[in-house]
Amino acid sequence: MFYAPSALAQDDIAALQECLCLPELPYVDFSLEAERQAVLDSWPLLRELYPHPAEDPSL
Amino acid sequence: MKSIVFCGVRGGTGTTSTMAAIGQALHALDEKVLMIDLAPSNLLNLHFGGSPTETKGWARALVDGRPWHEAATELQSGLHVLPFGLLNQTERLRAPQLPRLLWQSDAARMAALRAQYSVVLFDLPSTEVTNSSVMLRSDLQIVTTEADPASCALLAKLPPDKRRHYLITRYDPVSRVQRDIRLLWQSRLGPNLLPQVMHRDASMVEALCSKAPVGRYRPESLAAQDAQHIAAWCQSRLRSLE
Repeated sequence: MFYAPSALAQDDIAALQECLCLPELPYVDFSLEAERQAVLDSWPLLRELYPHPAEDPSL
Repeated sequence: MKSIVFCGVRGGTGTTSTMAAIGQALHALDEKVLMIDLAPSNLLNLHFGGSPTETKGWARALVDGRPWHEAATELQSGLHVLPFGLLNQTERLRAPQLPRLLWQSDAARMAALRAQYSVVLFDLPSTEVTNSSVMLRSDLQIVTTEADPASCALLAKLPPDKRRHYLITRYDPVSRVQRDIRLLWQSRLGPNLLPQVMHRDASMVEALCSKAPVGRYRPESLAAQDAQHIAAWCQSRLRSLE
């Protein structure tokens, strides 16, 4: 499971959802996801310990 | 009275130094603080002027059949430390059972503790991170961990527990791998990872050599400021439980 980047960012997203009257508006932080993937590509041990949910056999 | 237990994901993560710093910072925030050392290594006392050859402690008292509360030392009004004490090798074999004896030994004394202190901090050995009743009974569990590969491997093996919070110690923002591990943990642990870290700071080592918590040894240091922020976070979390 991945969490949203921070409480502050969640506040911003909540404000936007309210402003647009779209409470179900999905939010994906592509920048953070790319950064996370770069980390996993750099360090083999971390990739094994923290597989992406799509690659995690335990999920 | 609220309780916070500190435990390393492995040995050597700076748990005792960190707890000493946060205990002193909580006292500066007007909390009445008792710090109890549950580790047979008996190091907490050294952060507060204690002698490495001092045998006095709650475990020593229990083994000798004496009142354990007499081993507590008043550092300032509202700030006390209760050392583990020194045990020999044979006596140490009983160490894992001793905390249970401590809770059961004197109910009246325990009730007095609850009235006297607003926060009790426990320093627990890393071997007890998953199976200690102290962990389960505490209001706040803080597992200290360095952002390094060994801690990553150990942390990944810990069974999930939403009540457990993780504090990164000895964090060096210049280190790429430490930044990377912190990013992964922020994603994986979410709100269970403390937003504040304890930075790597020579003041922590110097403070122990000076037998003082870092906030008293060098109040302007980065580590002392980290401890203040974490103490404020702990105080806020504990108040939200009331």
